Amino acid sequence: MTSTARILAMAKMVWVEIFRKKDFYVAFILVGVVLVYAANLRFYNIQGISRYLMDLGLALIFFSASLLTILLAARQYPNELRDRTLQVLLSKPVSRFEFVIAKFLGSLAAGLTCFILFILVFLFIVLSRAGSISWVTAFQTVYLFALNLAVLAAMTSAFSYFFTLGANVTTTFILYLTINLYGGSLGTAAAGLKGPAFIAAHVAYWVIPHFEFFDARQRFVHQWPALSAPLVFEVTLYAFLYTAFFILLGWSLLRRRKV
Amino acid sequence: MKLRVWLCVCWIGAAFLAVPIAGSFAADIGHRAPTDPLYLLLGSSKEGIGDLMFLKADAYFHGGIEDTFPEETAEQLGREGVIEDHHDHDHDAHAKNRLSHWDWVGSMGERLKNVEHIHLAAKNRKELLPFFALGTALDPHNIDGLLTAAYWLVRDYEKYDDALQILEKGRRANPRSWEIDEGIGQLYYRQKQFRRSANAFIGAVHKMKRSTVDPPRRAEIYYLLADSLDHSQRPAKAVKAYRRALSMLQPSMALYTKIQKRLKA
Repeated sequence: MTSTARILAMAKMVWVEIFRKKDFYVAFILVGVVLVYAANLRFYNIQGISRYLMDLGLALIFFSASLLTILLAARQYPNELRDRTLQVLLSKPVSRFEFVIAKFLGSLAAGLTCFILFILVFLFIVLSRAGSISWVTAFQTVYLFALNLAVLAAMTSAFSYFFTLGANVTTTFILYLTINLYGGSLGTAAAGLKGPAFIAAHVAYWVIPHFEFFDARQRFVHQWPALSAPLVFEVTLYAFLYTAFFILLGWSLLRRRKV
Repeated sequence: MKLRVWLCVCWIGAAFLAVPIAGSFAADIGHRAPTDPLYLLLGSSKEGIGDLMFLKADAYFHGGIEDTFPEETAEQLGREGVIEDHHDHDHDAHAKNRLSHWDWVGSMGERLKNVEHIHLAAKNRKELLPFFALGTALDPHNIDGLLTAAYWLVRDYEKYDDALQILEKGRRANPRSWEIDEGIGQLYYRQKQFRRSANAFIGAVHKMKRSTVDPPRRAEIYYLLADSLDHSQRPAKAVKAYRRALSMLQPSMALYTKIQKRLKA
């Protein structure tokens, strides 16, 4: 069995896990119910209002897909430890690097599958209401969020070799939300600070993965022009570097662990 | 089996107890318990969420950008597409000045977001309505929000009844607001229901006495009151109101000349 085959086999097991748990089905039903309800709202008897639906739908889908990815990636290593299957896995010809890569790839694939299923429901409902959308911007929105899931899955995976399950989920989720909300304005806020706060804010500004780069919802909802190809490439490179960094961090943390 | 019976007894007992407990709480408060479903659902955060809806409507009007643009006049609000020439400042320049040349993180963020100051085209302004509907339902105390919602409903869709409904609800929630009375008066005035507009302007004029309003603004309302009275066959009162309006204006002002012409006619 080649290294790739071993990684894919382990990743497939992670991918299957998301459909064995109830989390995905609960999120899927919730997204569907909220979207159908929101699509049936009428405002002052005026037809063709759709942006609020896109805004709400994408926010809900981004949130649900991120949460499912965090929960899945965070529980991989702790569960292997708890079930005492880690020793069995690593006693076979599976290197620690392959283990880290497989857990990351499985979590990412599961998160992407959930995201794509949510998006299909979203597109079906939005197209029945709005009639037409910009497909280029829609594709860019989906692509950039897929990059977001890659960085998020790698980050959660890396943290799982250091934190306990609960601490990892809480830390990652708070960090993710905070960066999404304030990551962009941190640089401006840092400029107004002094002393150690100035240094701490600047270090944080440069070190954190800027998840807000991967959020093109506004562009899609408000029909702005599509992003240029070089800019999409830059963001892809940014996501690739952060993903690689977190995978290597996870590997380095696992190497120090005694199994 | 016994355990299940006891579980049911406890559950039903607790459910029945909830009714007298809720009654006691209501009696303690000293007035009738709130029945508004939105209040029951959201509690005191209702108004905060309502204000967020108005801010969201403002962001939608500016192409989704949640930023603080300077206050705009009705004429400026009516302009569509990219607004480049009427601002004292250039938004792009702001963004560039804020970022130093080595701040590639900020630069990438700016390139990913739209920083142009745009106004929603008329055909797309219906997209603001969900936020006005929610905002006015959640926070009837936000007078600016109510007036803005009514303004756009009438301006783009001639939904006078819906706009009046919003303002009437606002009047009940803000009995001291002259702005809402003026808004109601304007709606009736535009529909040529002069008797009703006169009554609303009279209400606005009375309430204005308790607040500080600029003389030209006060004169404008007196002028509309006078015009409404004139059209509803009450000339003596109309002349009195015209004269009050004149007393608040400078002779160089356009409205002054307009009123003088009316008085002569």
